[in-house]
Amino acid sequence: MANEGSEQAGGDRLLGHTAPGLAGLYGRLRITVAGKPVGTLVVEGIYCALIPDVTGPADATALCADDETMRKLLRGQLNPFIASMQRQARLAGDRGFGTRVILGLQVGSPFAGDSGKGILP
Amino acid sequence: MTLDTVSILDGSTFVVSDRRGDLDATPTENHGLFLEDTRFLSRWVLTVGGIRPKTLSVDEQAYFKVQFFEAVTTGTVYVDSHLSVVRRRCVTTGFEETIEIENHGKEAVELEVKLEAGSDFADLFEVKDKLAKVGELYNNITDGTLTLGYRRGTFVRETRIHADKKGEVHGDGFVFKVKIPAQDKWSVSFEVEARGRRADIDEADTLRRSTSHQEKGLGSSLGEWIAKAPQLIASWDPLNKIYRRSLVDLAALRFEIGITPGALPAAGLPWFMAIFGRDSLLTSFQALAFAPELAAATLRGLAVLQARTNDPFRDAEPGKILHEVRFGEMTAFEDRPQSPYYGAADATMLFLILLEEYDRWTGDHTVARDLEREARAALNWIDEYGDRDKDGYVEYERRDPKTGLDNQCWKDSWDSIAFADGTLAPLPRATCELQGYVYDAKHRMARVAREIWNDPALAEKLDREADQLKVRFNRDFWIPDRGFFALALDGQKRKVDSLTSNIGHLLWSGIADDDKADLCMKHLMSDELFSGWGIRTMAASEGSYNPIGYHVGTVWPHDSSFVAWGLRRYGYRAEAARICRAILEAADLFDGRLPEAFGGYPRLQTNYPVEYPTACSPQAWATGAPLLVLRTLLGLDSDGKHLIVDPAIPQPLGRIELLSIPGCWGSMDAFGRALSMSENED
Repeated sequence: MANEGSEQAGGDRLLGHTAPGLAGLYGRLRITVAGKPVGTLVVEGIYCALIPDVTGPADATALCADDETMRKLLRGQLNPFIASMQRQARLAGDRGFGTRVILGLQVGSPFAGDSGKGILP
Repeated sequence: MTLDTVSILDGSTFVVSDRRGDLDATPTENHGLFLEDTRFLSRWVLTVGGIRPKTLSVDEQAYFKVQFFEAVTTGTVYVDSHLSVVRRRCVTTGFEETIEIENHGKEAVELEVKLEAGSDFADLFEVKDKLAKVGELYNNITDGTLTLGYRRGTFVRETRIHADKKGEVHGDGFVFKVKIPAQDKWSVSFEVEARGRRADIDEADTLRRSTSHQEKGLGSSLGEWIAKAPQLIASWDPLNKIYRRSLVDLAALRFEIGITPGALPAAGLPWFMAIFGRDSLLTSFQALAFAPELAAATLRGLAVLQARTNDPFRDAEPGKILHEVRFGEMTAFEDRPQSPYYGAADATMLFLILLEEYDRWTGDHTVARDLEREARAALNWIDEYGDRDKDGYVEYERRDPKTGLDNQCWKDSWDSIAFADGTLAPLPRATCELQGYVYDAKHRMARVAREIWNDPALAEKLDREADQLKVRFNRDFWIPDRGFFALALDGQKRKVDSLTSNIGHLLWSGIADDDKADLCMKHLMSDELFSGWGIRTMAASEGSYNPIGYHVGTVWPHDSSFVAWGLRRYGYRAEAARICRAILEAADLFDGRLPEAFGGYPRLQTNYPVEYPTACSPQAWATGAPLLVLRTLLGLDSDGKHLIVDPAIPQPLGRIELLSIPGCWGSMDAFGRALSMSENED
C-alpha cells in the first residue's frame, strides 16, 4: 500500500515544503497532462516534493486534462469529484492514495501560492 | 417502488422496467438504466409485428438478472398465440439482453422486430424534481453501434448499444426483418454499455469482462456471500426466508467505491444507490455479527472522504464524516452540493461508534490503528464544530440556505422536528439522539484510546466528558410533566416536547439515567408509540402525527431495531423481544423484505402493515433490521474476547440457532429457545 510508509522515494526531498494535510501518507503520485507524464509528486508524511521523474515507479497517476487542472490539483484547489465528473482529472492505480493526496493538498498545499512560473511544471 | 416495476442492479448500476421489460420513462414512470446517478436509457421498447408483447410471467432469477416470458397476442379471446417471447436481461456496465422469439405455429412467419431506444440522460435529481436539461443530446451510428450521447462542456455521458444480428440501425433504435420457420426460433442479443465519468479509463477492463464472465462473477460472489454468513436454523419458518432475503438484498446493495478495498452498503433502490454515511454506518452496525467486512469497508471508505476543509456550500468542516456523494450532472456543475455533501450531524459520531464496535466484535485492531488520525479528527469535530454555540450539545443548521438540508439528523424531512402542538422548532436544532451518540462515541473511543492507541490521558478525558454530558443531558432534556426526553432543544434552547422514537436511540446509546429509561420504555411500549408492527417515528398523541407522514408517524424497521437493541441494553428483555417479533411478523407479510418505512396505523385496525407510498425497497438499513433483531433476540455481544449469548425469544418464534458466527473468538454457534409461560414466570 502506498500510504503505509515506503521510504524508497528516490526523488529529491524538498525539505521545507510541508503539507500538513498529507500527514501519514507515503508514496508517489505521477501526474500526466493530456496523456503526457510531466512529473511525480513524492509524498513523505507532511513533506512533499514535485520531481521531474516521469518513468520511475508510482503508486497512482493523476490524469489531468490540461495544465490548469494540474495546477489546481497541486495548489489544493481541485475537487476530485467535480473534476472526475467533468472528465478534467481522473485517478488510476491506487486511487485511495491519489484521493488522499488531492484532498490532503487542500489543507495547506506548499504550491498554493505558485503562479505556474515557480516550482510547478 | 410500485409492484408494476421490475428492478435489477449491481452496485450503482440498476435497471427499472415495467413488467414487460420495457423502459418507457414518463413524468410518472421512473423507468431507466441508471449509473452514477444518471439515467443512461429512458426508452427501450420492444414491438414484434407492431405489437407490444403481453407479459405472462416475470422470473426474477437473482438481484442482477431477470427473465420476462411473453406472448404476442392480438387480444382476441380464445385465439392462441403462436409466437412467444423470452427476454433475458443481466446487469453489466449497463445491461445485456437477449430476445428470443419462438414460432409455435405450423407455418413460417415474417415479422418486423423493433427495439426503440432513447435516453434523456437525466440526473436523478432531475428525474425526481422534473427539471429540464441544459446541454445537448446527440446520437450517431458507427459500425452498427448506436451511440446515444449528452454533452455539456466537458461533461459527456454516452450509451452505446450493439446488436449481434445485422439489422437496420437508426438514431432511435433497431429494426430487424425476420423470417422464422415453423416450430423454430430467432434471437438477438444486445449489449447496452453506459459510459460514465471513468469510461475511458475503465474501457480496457470492460472489454476484458464478457457479460457471461461478469454474470458468472456476480453469481459466485452472491454464493460466496451467502455461504460466508452464519447459518440460521429457525423453527418459525418465515424467519429463515426473511434472513436469506436480508442477506441477498444486502449483497445486492454492496457498492464498491474504488478508492478503498471492499464494498460498503449503498442506501437503497432506486433513488439512493449511492454512498450515504449514516446509512452505510447504521447498516454495517446492524450486520456486524453477520458480515463484519461491511463495517471495515465502510469505515475505511468514509475515512478517506472525511472533510478536511471548512466549506459552507457542502456543510463541511474538518473531521466531519460525509452525508452523501453523487455523480450526476447537477452535482458536477455545483447546482447541488453532493461532491461530497457533509450535512449529517450524526454520521461523525456513528463513525466512531462503529469503529469501536467493529474493533471489539472482530478483534481486528488494524482498522482502529490505521484510522487513528481520522478518529481523532472526528472527536475534534464534535467539540470544535458540532457544538456550534459551545453550550455542550451538538446542534445543526445548514449553512447554505438554498441547497443545504434543513434537518441533518436521520429524520431529515422538513417537518420532522416539531413541538407537540405541531409547530416547527426553530433552528439550530440539537436533537436528543445526537447527544446520545456523542456520549456513546466518547466512552467507546476512551476504550480505544486506552487499549489500542496507548493514550490513557485521552481516554480519561473522553470518559470524563461523556459522564459530564450525561449529567447535563438528563437535566436539560428531561420533560418532567410528560416523563420523557425532549426530541430536541431548539434555537432558543426550548425543549421540543413531542413524543418520538428518538428516545429509543437514547437507550441504545446509554445516556439515559436508569429511572428515566424506565419511563421511556413505558412510553415506547404504549399504544401511542408502539403500533403493534413496530415503533412509530412520532406518537399518535402528537400534533404532527400522520400515520403516512415520512418521519412523523410511519414505522421505520431500522428505527425499531435500534430501539429494541436499546431496550436490551437497559435489561428490558421482554419488551425488546415484543418489538422484534412485531418487526419479523411485518417482514413476513412483506414477503421477507422490509421496506424503508410503512404506515403507522394500529395493528388492531389492519391485518397487515400498510405500505408507505414512496418507500425505497430494498433499502439498506431496512434490510439490516432483521439482522439486528436476530442479534437482539439471541442477546449477542462481545467483551473483546468471547461471544456473549443471552437469548430472550418470544414464544411464537420457538427455537433459533445461528451457526458459525464470526468474531474475535473465531467462529461460534448460538442457540436460543422461547421459554414457556411458567419458565418465564420463574
